[in-house]
Amino acid sequence: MAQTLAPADASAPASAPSLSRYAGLLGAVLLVAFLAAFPHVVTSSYYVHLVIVIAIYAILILGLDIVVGYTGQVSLGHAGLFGVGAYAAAVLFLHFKLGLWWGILAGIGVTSAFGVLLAVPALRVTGPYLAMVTLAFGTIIQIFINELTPLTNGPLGITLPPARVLDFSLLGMQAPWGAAGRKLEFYYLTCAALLATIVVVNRVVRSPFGRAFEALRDSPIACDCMGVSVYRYKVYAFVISAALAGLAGALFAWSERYVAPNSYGFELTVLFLLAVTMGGRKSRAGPIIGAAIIVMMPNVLADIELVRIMAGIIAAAALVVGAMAFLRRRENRFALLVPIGLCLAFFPATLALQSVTDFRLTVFGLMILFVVYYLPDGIVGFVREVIPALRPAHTAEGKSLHAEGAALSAQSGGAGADPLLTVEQALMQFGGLKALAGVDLTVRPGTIHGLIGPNGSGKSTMMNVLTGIYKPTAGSVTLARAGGAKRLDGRTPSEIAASGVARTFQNVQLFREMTALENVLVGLHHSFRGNLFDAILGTPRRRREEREQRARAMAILDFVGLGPLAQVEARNLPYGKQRLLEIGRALALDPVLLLLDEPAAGLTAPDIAELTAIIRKIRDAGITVILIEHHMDVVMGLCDRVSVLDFGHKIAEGSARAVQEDPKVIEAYLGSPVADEETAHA
Amino acid sequence: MAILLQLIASGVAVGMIYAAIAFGYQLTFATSKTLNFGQGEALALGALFGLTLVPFIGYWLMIPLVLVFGFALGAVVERLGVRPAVKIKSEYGWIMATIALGIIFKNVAENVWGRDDLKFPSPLPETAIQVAGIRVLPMELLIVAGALLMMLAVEIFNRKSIWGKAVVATSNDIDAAGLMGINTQRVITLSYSISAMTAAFAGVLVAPVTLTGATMGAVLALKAFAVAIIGGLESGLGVIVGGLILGVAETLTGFYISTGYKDVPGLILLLVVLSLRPVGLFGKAVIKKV
Amino acid sequence: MLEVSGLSAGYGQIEVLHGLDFAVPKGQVVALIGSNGAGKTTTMRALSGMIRPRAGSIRLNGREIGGLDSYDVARFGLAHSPEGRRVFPTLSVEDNLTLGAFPRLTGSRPKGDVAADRDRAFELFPRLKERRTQLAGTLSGGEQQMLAMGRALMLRPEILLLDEPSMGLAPKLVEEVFRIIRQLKAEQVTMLLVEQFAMAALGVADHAYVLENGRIRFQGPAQQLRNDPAVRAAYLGGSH
Repeated sequence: MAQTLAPADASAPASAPSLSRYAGLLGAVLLVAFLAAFPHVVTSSYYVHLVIVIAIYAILILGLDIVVGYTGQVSLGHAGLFGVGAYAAAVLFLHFKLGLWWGILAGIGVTSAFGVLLAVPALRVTGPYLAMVTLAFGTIIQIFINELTPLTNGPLGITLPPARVLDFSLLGMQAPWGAAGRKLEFYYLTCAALLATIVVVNRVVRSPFGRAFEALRDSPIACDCMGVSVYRYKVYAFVISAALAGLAGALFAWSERYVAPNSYGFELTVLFLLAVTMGGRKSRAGPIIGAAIIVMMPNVLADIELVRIMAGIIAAAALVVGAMAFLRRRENRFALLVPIGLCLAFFPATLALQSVTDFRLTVFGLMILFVVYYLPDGIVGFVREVIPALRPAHTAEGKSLHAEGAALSAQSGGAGADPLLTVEQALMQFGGLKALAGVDLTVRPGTIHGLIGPNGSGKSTMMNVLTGIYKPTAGSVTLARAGGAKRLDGRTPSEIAASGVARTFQNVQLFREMTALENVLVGLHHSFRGNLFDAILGTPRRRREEREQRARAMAILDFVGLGPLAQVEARNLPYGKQRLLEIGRALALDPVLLLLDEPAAGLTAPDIAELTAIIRKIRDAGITVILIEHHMDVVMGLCDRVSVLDFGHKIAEGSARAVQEDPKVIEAYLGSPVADEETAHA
Repeated sequence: MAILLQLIASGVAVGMIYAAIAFGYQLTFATSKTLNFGQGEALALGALFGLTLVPFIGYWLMIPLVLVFGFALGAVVERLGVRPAVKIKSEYGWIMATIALGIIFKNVAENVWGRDDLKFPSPLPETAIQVAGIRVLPMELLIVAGALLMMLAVEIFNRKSIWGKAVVATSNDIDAAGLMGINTQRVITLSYSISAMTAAFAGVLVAPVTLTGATMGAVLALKAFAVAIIGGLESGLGVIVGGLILGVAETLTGFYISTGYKDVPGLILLLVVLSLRPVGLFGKAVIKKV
Repeated sequence: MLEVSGLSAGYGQIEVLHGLDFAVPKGQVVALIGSNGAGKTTTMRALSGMIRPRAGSIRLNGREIGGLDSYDVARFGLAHSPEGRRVFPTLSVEDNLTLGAFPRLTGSRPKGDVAADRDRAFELFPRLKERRTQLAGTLSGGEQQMLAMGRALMLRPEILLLDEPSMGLAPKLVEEVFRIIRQLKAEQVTMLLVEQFAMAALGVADHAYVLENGRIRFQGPAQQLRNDPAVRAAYLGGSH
């Protein structure tokens, strides 16, 4: 069922996706042309070497972007991984006299193994803890490299001969491109490696892997509940990133022909972070721009005249930006005074100093501060802001979006007699507090079952117990399945999701920086059969799967009424639509049981009507629904059966109408008039 | 045996330094859920600033000035590095910003005091003395006493003075503290000031027994973070235990294995603890609320 | 004393309150009731500065306090005993009470006799006196509720906001809490009471407003509303 796409965002004209795609292709062509021609135009070997180093750094930073940009973690250990790659290659030569190609293989392999090692302590931590873990890791690597002298030659370092890229003597012939060409073999090898890295990273981030990385940054809890294991994908991210760092390290060793322990320390790791942030995260151009900046910056800073010229240019640019902001009366024009003032002050400072080299690190530090506060999306992000046509249409770039197939797989069920879900004597205790004090619940298939109760009655606790976020202190949760009954208590949220139980959250847990379509695609993760190599190589199987799942995801979006908004980032959707998207994402799991946690909270009346209609459609498709709600009208209108909780006990159960009239329920909600009488006479 | 006891005694002294720095991490993390990745540079700057003052006014008079210096430094870090990031709710922001400030401070220090390590004159005799049959350096005793005294002083401040209680209240529940009329922003700045002050003080305590220079703080700060993790970023006493464990493990490793590997036990301990118990040994497990 | 007009507020994209108008006259107890999700706690938070109102005005004794930070609002004499109590668990009962008087001790409000007020609080809540050096985190729910109320009173506030004081408490304790509220009422403390349990609130208030979906559905003297079926409908649905 083909559908034409109506653009939802007026500022992104319909041609935008294709322009961004062409911009990407154009950039790639330009890059290849530039790299191919460069050494023939600029023949100085110094500059050729500079480009080699930029390319090598770019390879590493593209890998770093996966961890920093996509999974959103700060890694302070990448210089250490770089060092591992370099030393793997150097040690192979030192002890076994093995050359460049073996070095590259070892670099990738050994560093990937270290990536797994690093991932282990990094699994359960995040934020500053993760940063410290990576920093400790990097420091340990440096220490071991320094101390294991028999292996690494310690502080003296290892010297390597010129790299032998292609050995024509093996074939009994001369190099077709002559002696001059031979010198460039390493250069072209590095360029090829860079281009290969760009392709690989591109493929990975546009695959389910890339989506999983972003998902685990935006909401680890939702990830687990959608069946995407946070641990597993964190490991993948670290390993891929480490592999690229290892490749870069091995190339670096053979490029510089010397490795020493103190080159791979904290300073370098911070430079890498500066590069990825300044260039622009989540892009391919960003890391390359960032690499160029950090490699060329020391050279620029060494030349004081050049520094003064650049400072002058920066000051002039700042004046222009400031003047424009004030003339156009932009909102934040006063906030801009500080950075503009700093840029202006920089110029006279450079006039006063004779040499800036000693203050190189201060300059880097100031650049970091500047980027963190005023350029958080980097240069690439800034350019995209300013030129809306260049904004990427994410992983759904310009490909036709049409829905295909049924949104929901039909569930066998109907209003059967046997219960679908049985909860027996669920007890949930937190210290002395009994959030659930032995609750029984039976949910029949094909029904909408309401769970209500005043604040603190245990509804959300029950929800979390059912979906594996809490392990119940006692009691059992059993799900009836075709192959037999399955115990759910004690299982992880991932396992429960895989068993056919999906949920939405009280506070919306969407993957905010991903589009609506991508959010649903994450829900469809369970149906992807390909592995990482399929993704990297772009096999036909991978492409077919991607097409099919996109079509299915569009069908689901149509089902919840979000078809036209498929390309909009989740955080830009109106609140009511966000709630519907969460439901759509949950439906992608092909659940037999859907748990909705206060889906109507904060919705306006028309949104609520839309929501109720969709919930009915879901039930009609055979999916059983458990609904926690405070909006009584919603509950009364939808639910076949209602259970009422109070203080962790079930106090009533029955049809919606019966429960509404039950005096115990009224008392639970409104409080007891009887006690009130007594206090009035006290 | 005598050597073992001597090593343990040295380890205790080193451990107290770690505890003192870790104490600073706890303070800012408790009130603002952030910490200063440039804490090591605060320590180094404190030591270098003290070194400059000592020839003029001597060791003991230098201490209060270094405390004031550290206090001011902390406020600067908070204002420039932490506050803007917290306002835009960017974790990446304050991590990178405090790292950047640390780099800037280190670079400035290198330019002002040079890149070589300097000798800090010791206020106490540098020959070992016998205490309960163990040979210790008098300076090591001063380190232990000084660190304990400082942590005690902050604890007393927290318990007795109204602003100290405000700091504890902010750590417990920042919203409720605001309802009490407590200016929680000022409390956060105060906690950063106290944190940098303790780091600077640790700097002048440890400087006489080690080499003083712009780079002296970096690895110390990282290991102190290990101690803070082991102790749990919310608990007070745990850092002392953590510091002692780490300090003694280090001196023993340094002697029995090799000085090059001295720093390794702390770092490995950090990795192991975070792998097994992400909230630290003494931390409280957080109940997820969805 | 407290005049609210056109108050709109929410979280992020969600607008919870849509233009509320109500007032709390001096010396009176006003109740704000309604089912969960109606916006009661959001209203309290907007009043005490925990969230910023999007529109409307909040005047305390004629002074506009809408949009101020909570520590400024406290300075002007609005004390908020928050939903969930939120006592400081690692501080003693006594310290918790002392902190309630923070603006008085640091010069933002007239000092008065803080020690005497603390003794007064112990008189009002004898159970707290028994536990004065105990850490607040070890108190039971009911005791924490009393501590939260006592702490708020330490400000010597112009107006006291009580946010769901009965939440999570067993019926016996709810009675005790409301007995204390009655006592405070007798002492002419101006109070705004938010309660999920309508009956208890209506038993103690002078005037009440019924909140539904962020709007005031109806209001009236508390006595009148106690038997009004419209109140029940606001909670459990059905015809209005």
